[in-house]
Amino acid sequence: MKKFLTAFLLVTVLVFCGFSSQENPREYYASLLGQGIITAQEYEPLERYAFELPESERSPLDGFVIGEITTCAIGEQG
Amino acid sequence: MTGRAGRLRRLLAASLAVNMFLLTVSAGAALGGVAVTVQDNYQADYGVTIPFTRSPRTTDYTFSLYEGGSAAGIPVVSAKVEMTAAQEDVYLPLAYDITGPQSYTLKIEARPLADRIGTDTAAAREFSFTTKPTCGCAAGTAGAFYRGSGSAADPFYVGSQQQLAHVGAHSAANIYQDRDIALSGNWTPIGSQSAPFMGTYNGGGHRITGLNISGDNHGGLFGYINQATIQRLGIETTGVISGTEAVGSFSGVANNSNLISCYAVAQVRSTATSGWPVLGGLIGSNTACLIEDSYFAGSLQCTDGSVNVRWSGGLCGIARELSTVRRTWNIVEYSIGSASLGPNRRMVGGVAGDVSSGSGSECRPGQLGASNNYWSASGSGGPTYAVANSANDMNYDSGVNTGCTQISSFSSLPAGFDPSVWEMGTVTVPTLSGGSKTVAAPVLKVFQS
Repeated sequence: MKKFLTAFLLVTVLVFCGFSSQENPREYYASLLGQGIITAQEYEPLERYAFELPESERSPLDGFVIGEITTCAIGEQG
Repeated sequence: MTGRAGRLRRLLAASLAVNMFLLTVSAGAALGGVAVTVQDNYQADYGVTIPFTRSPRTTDYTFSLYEGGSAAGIPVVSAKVEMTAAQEDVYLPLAYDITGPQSYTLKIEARPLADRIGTDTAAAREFSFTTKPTCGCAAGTAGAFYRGSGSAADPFYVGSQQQLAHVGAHSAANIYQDRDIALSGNWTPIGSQSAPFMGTYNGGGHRITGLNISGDNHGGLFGYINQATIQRLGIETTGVISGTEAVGSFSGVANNSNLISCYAVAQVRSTATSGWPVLGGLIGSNTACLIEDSYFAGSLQCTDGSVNVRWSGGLCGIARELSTVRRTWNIVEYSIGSASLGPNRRMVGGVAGDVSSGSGSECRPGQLGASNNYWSASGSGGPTYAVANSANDMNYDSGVNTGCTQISSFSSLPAGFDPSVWEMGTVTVPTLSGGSKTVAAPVLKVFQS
């Protein structure tokens, strides 16, 4: 348990330190753009809203698709 | 929202995401492009498969299944789904009703990844569906099976009277009974001479109660089986199992079949008024079959009309072509009338009436492969030997007792009975007078849990 808590705190501190070096949101999103995590099309409205997109301007993640749901035995799951 | 607050939120989200990722991986959940972590320890050994194509912008989903046509209330099952593959089947355990169609709603919630929390927003969609028959029959078919494919590894599941009646529509399939079934009304035996049951029926240590049969030639839960196996099934009925040709609790006629770890507590009756009726506690007429670790407790009655021969036996009326019977017992009250062709043609055996082989003009002496069988008889017209006729000579009683022992009662497991299969218990035996008596007797452990 002690080891687990130590690891948890360590990860949190590392992440915090990592982000502390990127305090400028422009730089942060430019970095994401450079890494291909966001697209230029997504970067443009960020820039327009000073890198704080209102909730209504964010893209909903509803672009998933399912096929026909079928019943199965436990040994047959995909 | 200020820039500082936004950064703090991103920081917190990223920190949590990294830690959750580490927790998930430490649980060993990520395999094959999709990791499903079912919540609240929900378990079922069957469920639903959902072909899923994820959004390219997130891998983080929750799938929840709700009973009915909307995602209201508490879901039956909910799971976190971490999907790295673009397209994959997502399996969710779900103990849906196996006895008929059932409607569910699947709610899928998608969450943004940590790096995209400022550009994406969570979304949820709902999909309603109804379970369909898995046996190939059209939706709405009475008694259709809703679980299994009928293979040995994935048998059709049976849980209702209608589904039991539907077994005959899949006569070569593997069947599993997953609960006790109480029958009502007059039962039509499964399988006929032209379309015998040829599959396997595993009772799963469950019982069928309320079996009543009249008006059929071959009376029994099954009418006619061929190259079939029935196992781990109990029949308990206060009704009467009757027929005019071959009658037995499990099957009127059985050829090249197995009856293993089964029992019947019943009254079996021939209603033939002429001809050559066959009557057995478990099976009426049996050719080259195996009966193992099984028992019958009840009555056998064949008194109607003027018939040529009355073949009757505690387990089988006829057991031809070297049938095998081992580790069985029966306690039977008999009421067997005379045969019109002579006193020796009333062939009543404590285990089997007649074991001679062949048929018609090809009849020849035969034998029963018997070991560790025990029989007890009371009433009128009952047996003198375990096997009444083995010589195919109807002019004298050629009875044998090899491998069979007449007993009056059980005080402990008899010789040859495996204590991992059997244990001493009590059995309530129906009597011809309409009452019952409770006796100490070996019972099968598979039915005791």
